[in-house]
Amino acid sequence: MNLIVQNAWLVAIFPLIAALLIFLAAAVDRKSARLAMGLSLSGTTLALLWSVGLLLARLGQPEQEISGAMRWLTAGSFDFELGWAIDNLSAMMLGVVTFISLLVQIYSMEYMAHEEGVARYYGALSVFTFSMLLLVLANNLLMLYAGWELVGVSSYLLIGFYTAKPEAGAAAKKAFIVNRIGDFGFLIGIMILFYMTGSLDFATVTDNIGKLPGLTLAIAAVLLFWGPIGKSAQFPLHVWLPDAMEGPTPVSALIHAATMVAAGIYMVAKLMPIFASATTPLFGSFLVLDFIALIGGVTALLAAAIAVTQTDIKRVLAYSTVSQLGFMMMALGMYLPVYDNGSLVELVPLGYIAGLFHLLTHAFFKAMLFLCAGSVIHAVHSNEMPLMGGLRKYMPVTALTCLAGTASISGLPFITAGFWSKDELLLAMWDAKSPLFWLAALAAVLTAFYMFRLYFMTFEGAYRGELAPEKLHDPGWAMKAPLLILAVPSLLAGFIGTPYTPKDLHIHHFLHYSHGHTAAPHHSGLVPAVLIVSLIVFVLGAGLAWAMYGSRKPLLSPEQLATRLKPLHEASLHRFYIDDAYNFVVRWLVMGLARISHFVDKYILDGMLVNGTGLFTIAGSETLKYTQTGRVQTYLLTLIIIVVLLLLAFFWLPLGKVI
Amino acid sequence: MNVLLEIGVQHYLVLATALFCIGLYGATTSRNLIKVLMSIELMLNAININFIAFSKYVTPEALSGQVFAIFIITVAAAEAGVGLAVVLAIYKHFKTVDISKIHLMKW
Repeated sequence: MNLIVQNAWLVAIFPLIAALLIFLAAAVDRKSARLAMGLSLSGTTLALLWSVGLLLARLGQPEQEISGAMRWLTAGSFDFELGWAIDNLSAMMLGVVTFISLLVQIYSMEYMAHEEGVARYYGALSVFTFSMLLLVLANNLLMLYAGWELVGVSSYLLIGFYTAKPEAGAAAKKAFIVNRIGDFGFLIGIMILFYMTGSLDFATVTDNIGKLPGLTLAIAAVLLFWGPIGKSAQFPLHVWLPDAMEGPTPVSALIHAATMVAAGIYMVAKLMPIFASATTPLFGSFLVLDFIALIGGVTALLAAAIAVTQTDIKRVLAYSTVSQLGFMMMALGMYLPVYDNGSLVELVPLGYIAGLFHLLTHAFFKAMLFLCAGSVIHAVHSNEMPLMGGLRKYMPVTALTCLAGTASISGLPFITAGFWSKDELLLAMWDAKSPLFWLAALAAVLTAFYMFRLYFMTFEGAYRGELAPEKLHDPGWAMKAPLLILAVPSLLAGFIGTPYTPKDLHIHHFLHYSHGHTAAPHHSGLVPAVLIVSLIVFVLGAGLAWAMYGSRKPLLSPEQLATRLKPLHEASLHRFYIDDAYNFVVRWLVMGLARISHFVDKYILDGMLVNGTGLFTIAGSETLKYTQTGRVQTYLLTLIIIVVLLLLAFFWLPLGKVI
Repeated sequence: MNVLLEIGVQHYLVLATALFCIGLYGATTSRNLIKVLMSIELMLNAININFIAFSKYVTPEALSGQVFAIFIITVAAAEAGVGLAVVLAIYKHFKTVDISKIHLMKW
């Protein structure tokens, strides 16, 4: 135990070593798939053991500090340190990341068995695990940023894994570039903070955060938040995540549902003292936290509305992920203002724990749902839900786990994890008296609707595909086991956050925001209004889905509803034209600018300046060469004339004194 | 009227200027290479006179002017030797010493 606590940083090193060995082995023998699997799995298993040890250490002795640092490089009087600090939040994240990473790697052993380049796949997965752990371990902004960029790179590698597919390459590029846009803001935010506080350590920065001028801090906070907008696929940079589904499905489960996209949420929670200190409004009385909540709210509703009409099973899940991340962001933006003599002195985050709680439960059930989708795709060889249907008879295990996940994300009351975390989210918004509460409720109705639509279209009714039904079957144990293991926390993880949970085991006891002076209000028991809304939301959404897709004779025909709500249906089908808007902007604005700068570069810089200088020199020398007559006496005469002229100039012009 | 009666530094300077101008005129206008060389000698001697005159009237205690003059005479002798050798070589090649016909170093 001591060994683990004292060498906490090793948790990230195991996957790194595994990755290096895999790439080394792959360089020697391209078909070293089995070796790669073994290395990757053992690296992640060790990391999981370490994480569990750290989590237990945090649970056992919450006041014990787990931190350390190594000197990295010195620039002037400033030392950059490779430092790690594990608080309860990072310990939780470590557990989630390594646990799901391990399960996904086990799942991939069967899923990827017939693919080319398994070694490359496992190498990239190990790199991803390493970068994610680096991000979580970091005790300073620079390392966080390094991990942040590295997960982007590994995500790029994995989305583009099917190198033969042009769409995969395009999606990988799109993900990387869109993320870079967000990261740019993040980097500028870090630089502002570093410039103003002279440090990159979380602790030092948050201690000195009060000394920053209000508006500077607000701007820095908005810029910092730009990073999570990209990484956690928030509006308007959410467009990359649905396209990222071109990657292998286990990768979608690990990176684009459970861990990497949650990094944005983690980052906002980790830097919450900075966001909550920004009490200067951006305009009117609009604070940075309001901005975060608004972005989250727009994302949650928009993505849910798009998910309703998609027919690609992975795309439904992708938009669902975007929407759920929006929920978390919304909760993180909830606050209680504390006034002193009429001026705003403090913001008490209300949804801090709710957001992280939902991150935890969402990681489990969304990873499982993606793995279910992978199992279905593995069986029917298609992503299109209209080609599925009735699969419950052929794939009972997948159907059952998928139902558990669907119930959880839709918020089936009392027995699922998703219900409790969503209840917390709604409660935070209720407490903050935010109008976004109703927006969240609407998005939650849509969530229940599209998830049950997905379940009914895939597993109920009659099989509509072209394969012989006898060929459809559940996958082998390597794929079934992770599904079953993940089903347990998908249903039970919520019990760490119910009002009836013993205090010592409660998530409020484990994760708490302790930066400000005022404590957030704590509820005992369920809040009836929120509970009723939660129930109505679930019944409405699930009921509607059953009426349209689940019952033998549809009570409500989807086609009829689509024609009645034609504009909305069309907009949702076309993802609210956001991708088209980006295409338009890129094609006309960016390409136009590129053309102009190309013209300037080619004809003005290269043409006029560079070639012009050369031409001028040539023309000048061609003219001046005629003065080179070869007659010595001409030279002498020129010399004398010039000397005389110079002498005259010195005498008559005030240029200087000769004598 | 002292200026006219006694010989002072001005007289030397006027003489040197005259000599230098004659040399300059000769060097720029003569067609004959030998004449050009001779004109250059004139200019050098004009400068020698200047040196000696200034040495005598401005810093009589030091001999730097005289030393310079002797130095210039030495260098001029060497220059004349080399110059005449060049002229001989040119004559052998072109069969002429007319400077206006010698313009090999043209563009």
